[in-house]
Amino acid sequence: MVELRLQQVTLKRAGRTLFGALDLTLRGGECWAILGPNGVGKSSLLHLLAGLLPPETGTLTLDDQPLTTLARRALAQRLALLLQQQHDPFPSRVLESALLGRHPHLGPWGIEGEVDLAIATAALARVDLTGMEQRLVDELSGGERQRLAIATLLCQQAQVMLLDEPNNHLDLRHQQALLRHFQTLARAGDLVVMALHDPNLAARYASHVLLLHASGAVLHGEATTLLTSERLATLYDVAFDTVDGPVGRLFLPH
Amino acid sequence: MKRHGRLLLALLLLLALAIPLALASGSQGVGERLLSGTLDPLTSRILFDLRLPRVIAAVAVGGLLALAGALLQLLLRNPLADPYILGISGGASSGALLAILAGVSGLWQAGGAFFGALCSILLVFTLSHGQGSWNTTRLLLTGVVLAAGWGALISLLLTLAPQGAVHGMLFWLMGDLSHARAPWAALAAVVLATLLITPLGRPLNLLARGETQATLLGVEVGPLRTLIYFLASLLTAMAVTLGGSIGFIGLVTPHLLRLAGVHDHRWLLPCSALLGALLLLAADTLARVAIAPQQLPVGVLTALLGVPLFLYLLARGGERG
Repeated sequence: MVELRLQQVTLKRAGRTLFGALDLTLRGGECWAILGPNGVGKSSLLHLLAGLLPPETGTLTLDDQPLTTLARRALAQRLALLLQQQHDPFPSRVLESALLGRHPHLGPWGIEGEVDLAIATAALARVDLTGMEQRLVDELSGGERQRLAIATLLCQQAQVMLLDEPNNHLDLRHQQALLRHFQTLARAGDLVVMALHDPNLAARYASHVLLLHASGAVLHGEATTLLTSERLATLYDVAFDTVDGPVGRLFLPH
Repeated sequence: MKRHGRLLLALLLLLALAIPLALASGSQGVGERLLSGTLDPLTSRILFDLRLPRVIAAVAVGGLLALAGALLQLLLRNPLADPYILGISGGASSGALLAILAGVSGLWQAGGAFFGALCSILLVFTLSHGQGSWNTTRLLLTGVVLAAGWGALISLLLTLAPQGAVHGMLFWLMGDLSHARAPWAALAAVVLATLLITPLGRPLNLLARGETQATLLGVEVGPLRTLIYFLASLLTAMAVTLGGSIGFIGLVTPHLLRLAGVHDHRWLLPCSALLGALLLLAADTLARVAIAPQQLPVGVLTALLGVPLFLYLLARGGERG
């Protein structure tokens, strides 16, 4: 099983310490949700885990190899990050965009073959974009673009999937379907880490949660034990009620 | 894939057809003399000493500019980038002029142009890359101001230059292929550069999506960007040394191809080189015959056609936000 480990990691951004001396081990088979108010560094934490942002102190290892010693291509074969939506000045076609996810698996002179095409077609079907392969990306709606970005990530077939607000712009049906898919992937042995804004989605789909407080305090552990209305109240500075729903607990902010 | 291959082939064929056509066009008809079967010394001189170098120069400079334009658009992540608009041709011209005034020539002159282009791209790149985000307004403003600055420097250098040299030097300002000599090296350069950069098309496709996305998908962004930066400077410098500042070919060519549905840089780059060559050859032939026996500087013609197109693209881009 894949293992991503942080030892005594301190992360700073723009001179501000986001959190200090964090010890954390993320293992394959787990689906993590990162919760916290705006600006506490959920995205920065994901960028740190993807090796895009160096830690101020401490070490970060993927299967006992320091992340800094891995070449970007080798890393990209094992680890993927879904970025928050980005502006694309050169819109290409949907299928071409999804195929970009195959890049780390192709040699420098390689051309996408039947296998890559099959993977991309399957990924597009998974995000419900079948039939739109030849559409231009800038003709898509925000939600469709987000689904395309997820398809590109799925094409990468990485064991570690870091998702920055994967449910952004998605309608309810696609939110449920795609989060359930990531949950299934995690149960099959992959590691999924996603930044979310809705504690109810975390409670429903994540096995583990990490609560990132504005004070820099970090709580992490199993979702069932860690998610309580008191802890969420401290985290968001909003009072919560807990309601037992048909699919588990629901947290309702006042 | 197949469609793109056919487009590449079609462009290659068109260029192969256009070259003899351009050779045959001009104020002196050579067609009937050729058909008579004998090549008299005058016809031979017109064809091989006057027209052929100019035709080859048009092909080479067009290819160089279009390739440089496509690479700059990628480097700056902006479809409005062009060596002329961003003042990079101006930098190359100034560098070359300074080398001439310093009394050196030949390779040093090309070196001066290269250095000027390199400085310009570096300036545009650092100044318009504020806080990591790319901004069209800032990019174009930087380019416009740089172009104005280089223009002033070129005027100053021309004023200081000895009387006799000025006429020949004016072409740095407007772009003219009638002085083009030894265009074969530039032609070889454009072919080599295309062959070198096309296999890198897949990482370049990723770079077009932004540094972060490219890094995440396994591209070592730093070395790739440095390569594009040097290559775009080199191509612009060669084009400017041969033909002065010729505008808009680098802007229009990749844009036309994107309109035709070519987005993959593995096809976009070689197609750009071919289409750029074809467009400049057509423009230069038109410049030679439009008011024959008088000849227009081709840079004037490309600007007259390019400016309205550029403004249209800018307005359309603004509508989309």
